[in-house]
Amino acid sequence: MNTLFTFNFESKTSGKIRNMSLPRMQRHVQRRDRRLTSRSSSGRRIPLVVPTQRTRRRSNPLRERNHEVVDVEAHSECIDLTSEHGNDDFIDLTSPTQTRAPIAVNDSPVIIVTGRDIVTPPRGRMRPLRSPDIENEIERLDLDIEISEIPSTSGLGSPNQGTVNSPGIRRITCPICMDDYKELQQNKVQLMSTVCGHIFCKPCIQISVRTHRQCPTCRRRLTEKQIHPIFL
Amino acid sequence: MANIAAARIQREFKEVVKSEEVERCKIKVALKNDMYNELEGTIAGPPDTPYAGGTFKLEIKIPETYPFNPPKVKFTTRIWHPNISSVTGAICLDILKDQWAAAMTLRTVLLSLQALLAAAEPDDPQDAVVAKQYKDCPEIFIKTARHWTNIYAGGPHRELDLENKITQVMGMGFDEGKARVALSSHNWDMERATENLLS
Repeated sequence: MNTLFTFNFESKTSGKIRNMSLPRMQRHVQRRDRRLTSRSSSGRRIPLVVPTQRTRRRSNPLRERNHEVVDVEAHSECIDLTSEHGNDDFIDLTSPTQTRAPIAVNDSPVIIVTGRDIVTPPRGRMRPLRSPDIENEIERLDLDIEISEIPSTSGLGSPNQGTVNSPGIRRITCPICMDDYKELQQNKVQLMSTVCGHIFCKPCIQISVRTHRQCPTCRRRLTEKQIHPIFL
Repeated sequence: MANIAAARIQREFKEVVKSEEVERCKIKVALKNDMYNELEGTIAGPPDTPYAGGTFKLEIKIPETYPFNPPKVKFTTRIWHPNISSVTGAICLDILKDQWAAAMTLRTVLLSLQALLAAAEPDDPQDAVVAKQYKDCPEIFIKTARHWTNIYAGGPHRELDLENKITQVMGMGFDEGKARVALSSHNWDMERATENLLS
């Protein structure tokens, strides 16, 4: 506990201390000690040189211990973050601890990232080499992923992205005529997707692309060949 | 085609009426006829701008080719803003011209207009006189915009010194509206404004 603190202290304030008179420096040290550790040893005078050297010597073994503990998970005694003791040893954010990794994994939906990566349409010379079937397959795969991930991210999407959000459910709607999936099914209208991943009903997207040659949602340039049926 | 336009406006109208967000930002849409091709929009002046507290009315005309072409929108409430004509109410906003996209709705248009009131683009002006004042004398611009909001949009802040100047010019026999435009356009310089009115 104390060792880690003095180590930080030494590295951050050594420049200041050089210019201080000894009594002033000691006051300075005590003040910092009180503020950072919250259990100050009042009246304890710390000589200028001794603590810094001591910390240098001690901090290294400490850090080594830290790594050791992270690698061997069975060492529960040290990983226990609830115990007050040793807590400060492990909260050192400057060391590349692996203990933080599981937290990051919980936060980031890895599946979504890969899904979006897949759908990015290949550009340039690569494009014509792919058969449309494969592309359809890829788009469909992406859509499956997106739909399955809805409950967690329903708050993020805008209502105008071809879908309408209501708590927990995502309704597919053509953002041009605003017919929802049921109405489109009843009218036997085919749903279409653009290469940029936006969904419309067939008549609407056809008129739109013919007149404006761009995606009505994201304005990406589109030709009629860059639209394909999609089956949900 | 016209069928799509009317059907969509009906749905959008419901969407705007239902939308909580629209309620919060004080945006309204009212139908002007049963054909769904003419509407009246209302937006509240955004807070922390000279338009705060004002209520601005807009005329929205829906073309037959809607939503593949943008609605025609202009202010019917007079407003002092670099991107809106102080004379006709015509609006200079890209999404109402070449940057329109069919997935946009009346709701997004009204929200964009509200955003335009909060963030003018003086380098792409509709009203060059206002834009010049906005750039050269921002303090006078703010006072003028606040005065116009007070007079035409029911804003709460009166600008008494500006009102006095208008009264003085009116005393020379000029119409109130003309006096206001002349003074606003000449940075409230009485001499230049009267010269302009006389010429």
